[in-house]
Amino acid sequence: MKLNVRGGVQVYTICLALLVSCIFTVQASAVTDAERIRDLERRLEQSLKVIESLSSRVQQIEGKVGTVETRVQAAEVAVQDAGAPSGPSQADSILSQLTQLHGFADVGYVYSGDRATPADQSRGFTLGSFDIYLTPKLGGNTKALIELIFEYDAAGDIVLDLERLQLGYAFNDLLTLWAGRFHTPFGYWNTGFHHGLQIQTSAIRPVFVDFEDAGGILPVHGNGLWAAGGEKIGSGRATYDLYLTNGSRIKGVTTAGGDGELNANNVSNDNGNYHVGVNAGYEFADALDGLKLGAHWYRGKVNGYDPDDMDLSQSQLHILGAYAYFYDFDWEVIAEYYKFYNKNLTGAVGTGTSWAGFVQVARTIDNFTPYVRLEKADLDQMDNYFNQQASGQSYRKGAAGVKYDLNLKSVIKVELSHTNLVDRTLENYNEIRTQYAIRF
Amino acid sequence: MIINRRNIIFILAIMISLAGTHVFADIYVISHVDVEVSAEDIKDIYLGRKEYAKDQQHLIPVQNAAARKEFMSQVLRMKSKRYRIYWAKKSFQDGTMTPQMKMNDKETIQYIMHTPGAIGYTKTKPEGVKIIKKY
Repeated sequence: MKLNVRGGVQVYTICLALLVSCIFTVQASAVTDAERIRDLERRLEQSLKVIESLSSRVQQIEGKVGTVETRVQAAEVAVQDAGAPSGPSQADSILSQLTQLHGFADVGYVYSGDRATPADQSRGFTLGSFDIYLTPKLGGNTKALIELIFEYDAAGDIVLDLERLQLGYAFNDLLTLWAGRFHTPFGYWNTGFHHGLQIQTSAIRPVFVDFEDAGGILPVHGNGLWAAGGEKIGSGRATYDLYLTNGSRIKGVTTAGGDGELNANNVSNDNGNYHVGVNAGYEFADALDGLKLGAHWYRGKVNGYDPDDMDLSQSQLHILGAYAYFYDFDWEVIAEYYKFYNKNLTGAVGTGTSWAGFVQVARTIDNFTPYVRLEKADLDQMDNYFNQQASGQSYRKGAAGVKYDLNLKSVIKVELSHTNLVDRTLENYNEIRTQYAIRF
Repeated sequence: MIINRRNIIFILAIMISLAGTHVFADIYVISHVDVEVSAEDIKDIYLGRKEYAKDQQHLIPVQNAAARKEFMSQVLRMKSKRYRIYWAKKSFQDGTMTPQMKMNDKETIQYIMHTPGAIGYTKTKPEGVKIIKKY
């Protein structure tokens, strides 16, 4: 093959051009790869930083979860060490401190021979009440106690009660001043247990200190001001309660054909008369640790209204009482005595004397707590305060039962009782009651 | 069984060894440095009966899960179950809150060091807080 010069130059030129082109192409390619590598390195560094950040965050979260688990485990260990029957009570306690919400609930069964009560109300399964209370931490010296209760009334309608609404200020240990609706601080039972069925030994309250709408004859709720406090005296501690309330009235007095039920005057004072009361007690220490003795006094005017809300009468309610409470875990003894010096201020005026009292003794053996209670009320039927109330009749009652602690927060009770109604109606009947009560 | 000197020594040795298992651990009841309370107040504070110091400072008792059992038996002299039942009643009656629970000595000391009015208890001798009494 022959090449001419012109043709050879062209070939060389083309080859040279191709060569230069290849060199530049290779150089350009090398530059692009370097940039890509640097870019990839930069991205990798960023990814590593993100991974490190996420890893740190995960460790923080795991640490917090671990701390919470450790706290709960520590609480459970403490409970187990303490020999609790079962259940993480202290763990629950930690949680409840966070929520500040507590409460009670109970269900049961009752079989009563009370012929005065319709059979459908005295025999069968019962729903007790669902009670919740809050003790919010407000900081400083301010306090609050709010309690709501849901329950069914005798007609089967659900009722919501603002049981307590107390706003208080603690000046010191000697004086906390509360305002609002509270449990009237007379005797021990009324403030000690009230709707807290799980913490009370017996299935039901003594009849005469029952709630106003459940057969009670005392103003167990008050709306007003309440000063309370205590001071160490000797080895023990003296306590006091001093209160001023709207008092109560009797709605639909029985003498005018009504239901005759006390009403706590929650929103206003019907007769302009304020009720006053005082409760003084002493909590012993050392050898008598667990014993509290006290006395109380209460006075106020109570008006009676017919079913159409017409004011019919006025009575002076005047109570003087004493109580003893002892609890050392193995034994529980409660005794209360109320003496009434009531006066009819309208109609057949005059002063009558009545009294009511009870004694309850309980002994705890492992998870079982058998108990007995005797109660009696001799109520003057010429006293308007009593004869205008449906439950204001004299009675004797004996009860015996046993409480079984499933754990610290749930109990089962079985109670047998015998009741004698001795003046307005003459009747006696037996009753058996079971109850499953919890607190949380 | 023949009662001789060797048997008596053997029985005494068993009794001594059993007694040794009931030796209590030290408990330090401690407070924040600014708290002015006496050892006689400790039980009342942990039962919610005393909420304020002499200078009206609000007291904040805390429990220590790691030393609770010893504190109950040596200081309050109460069964733990009774203490919990007591507080269930107390908080329902007057709204007083159950003392908070800390999980161990370290957490208890840290809380008390940094919380004016705080009171607690530990098994180990702490520093940076006031020791009210050693049991």
